[in-house]
Amino acid sequence: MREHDLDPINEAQAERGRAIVQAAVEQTRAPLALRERIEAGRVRAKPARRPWLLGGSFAGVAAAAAAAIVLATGGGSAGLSVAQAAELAKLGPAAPAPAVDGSHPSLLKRSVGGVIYPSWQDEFPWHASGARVDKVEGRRAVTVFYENPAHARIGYTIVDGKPLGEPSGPGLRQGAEHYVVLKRSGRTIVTWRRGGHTCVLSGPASVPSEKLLALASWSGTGPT
Amino acid sequence: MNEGRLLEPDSLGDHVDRLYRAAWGLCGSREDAEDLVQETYAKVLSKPRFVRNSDDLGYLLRVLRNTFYSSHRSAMRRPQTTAMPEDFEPADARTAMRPEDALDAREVFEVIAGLAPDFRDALIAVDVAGLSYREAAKLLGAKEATITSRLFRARGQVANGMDRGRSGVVEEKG
Repeated sequence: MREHDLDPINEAQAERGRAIVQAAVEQTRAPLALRERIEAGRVRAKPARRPWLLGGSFAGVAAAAAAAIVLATGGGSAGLSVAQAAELAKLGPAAPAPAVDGSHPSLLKRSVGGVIYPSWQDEFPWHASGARVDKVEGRRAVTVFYENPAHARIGYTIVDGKPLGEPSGPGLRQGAEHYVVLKRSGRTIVTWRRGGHTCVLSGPASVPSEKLLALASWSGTGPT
Repeated sequence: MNEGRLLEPDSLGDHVDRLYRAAWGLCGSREDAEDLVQETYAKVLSKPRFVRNSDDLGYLLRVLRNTFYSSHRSAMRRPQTTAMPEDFEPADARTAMRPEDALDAREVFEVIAGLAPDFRDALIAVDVAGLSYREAAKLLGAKEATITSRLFRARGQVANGMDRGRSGVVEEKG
């Protein structure tokens, strides 16, 4: 028998080793604390890394760097803006998606200041795919990402604390809520206030503003 | 001319899990792995980076590996210390009450970290980080056939190492 064999390796041993490693890999994910530290580093490094977001030519890089300065400073002394909050959706998820609330399937198990993130998947082909937490201009902002079957990704950001200044733009009024539509850097943004907080839905240009409005104003059985 | 592109930060977050696993396999310790991954990201984020084609993961793994080896060399030049009991976190203890699968994962990564560097690196590149043989060969500067051979032996040694590790635990308790 082979119980004392250390070497040579046979096929069965190798296959067993492969399966052992695979099992360990499948159950191992980076701790949330590590993700948050990395994301904090990314936010701190924002002026240096902003050019990456747009990529392309050096002229584009220079333009992006200039935009980054505006983003980092808010373009003035007014603090965090809706456009800045919308930028967070471009950074991608840094943590797993919140789970759907089993007792309220139209909601996720995540909220900011009492405003709960929706779960649209029973109504729309968008499911929660990730999340991230950022602190920008001293304001905590939580973004939940949603993806559709075409792998388009949108970010739903809720900024904690008092609402941000409302930008001007075309919009939709539904009940007490006023939804404003913006176009920034090739993305479509819808912002509104809910529960005294600013909510921002940001998606790529491939997602029409009507769709974002429908998602933003969807009440289901939930947030509104 | 090199056809380069700027590394997209949007995609970096997608690789944290793979980097963490690879780091754990290199270090053999979760805490050290976290530090290594964080240091890797800090380096990558410190300035714009050009990469070729779409091999973001390969680039990150290369930085991770270089960081590990440079840190490892520095550490080897310093006096080695042993953690005192008060530094010992029960959550990571071999004898702590942990789900069996979590215990196994920790043991597996300890065994991987204890492999000879050539075997360990091949196994981490392919089985832990999920690179193809070709990508692993490029990362490690070896031929694909060499990677295949090292991987085969590394897998077998992991199986043997797990057997020995488990029997070792029993002996310690006895």
